[in-house]
Amino acid sequence: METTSLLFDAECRVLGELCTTGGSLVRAVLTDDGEEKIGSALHLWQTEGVPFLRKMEDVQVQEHISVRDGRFLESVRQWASVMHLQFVSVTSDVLACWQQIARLPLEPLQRYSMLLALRSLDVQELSVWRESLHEATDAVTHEREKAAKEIQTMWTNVAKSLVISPKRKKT
Amino acid sequence: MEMKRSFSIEQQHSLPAGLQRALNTLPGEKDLSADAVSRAAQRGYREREKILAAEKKKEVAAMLAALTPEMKSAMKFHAIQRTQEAADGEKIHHVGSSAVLPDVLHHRALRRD
Repeated sequence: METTSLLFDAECRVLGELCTTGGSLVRAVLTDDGEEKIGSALHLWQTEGVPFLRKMEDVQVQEHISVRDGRFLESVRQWASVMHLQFVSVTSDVLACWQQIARLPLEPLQRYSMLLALRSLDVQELSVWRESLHEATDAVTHEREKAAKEIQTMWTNVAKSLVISPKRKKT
Repeated sequence: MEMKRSFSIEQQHSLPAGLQRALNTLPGEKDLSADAVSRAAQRGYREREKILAAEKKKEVAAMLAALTPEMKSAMKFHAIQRTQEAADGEKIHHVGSSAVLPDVLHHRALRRD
């Protein structure tokens, strides 16, 4: 079964999504912030593996875990903790709600707070949230479309000011 | 005044895309002197900023109208926590006051207990 985990920086900006199955990596998608902050790390994971500290009796041994290894998810979780990043694994229902939240005009901290709240909901509550989020994204999309039309009309009016009227042409 | 019917490459790059699209659809001869185009573009950018600022407010209002009180409360949870952290000057590991817990988390915490 596929698991999706979201990575956030200390300011709660989303850096990307990691999809894993049986602990090994299926795919990773980074946001622009993620590309900037952890893009090079992701590249290293693919070539060298994820640095992972394993405790053996009294000694800590560093290993590099391949993206195909079943311990990949665990090693990224540890890496995120060392890097002071938030690592949040979510169910598919929560992920669907998160995708709606990501489209809302919210601050990163507000989005993150809602995600944490979502994770504590039961199925019935999650369904109510999903419905409200759907209404909210529809309402926001409607406002965006209205603004886009308004901007288009505005540019047409501005462009009209550049059209040379036949009267002006004669003079 | 110098009149041009078509844009040079340099002009195309400096023209706002919306203005260029609108100009392409309008019939008739246009005053595409650098001065006229620059003034039109500046006017358009100013107007666009106003529309986008108004849209932002409308978007937030539309979103808040659709969200339940529990969701609005959850949205503020970490913001409240962070403000408190800043005020206290240290990280708070446990939020003890139920006043800052959003309803949904509070109910969940009670249920767990």
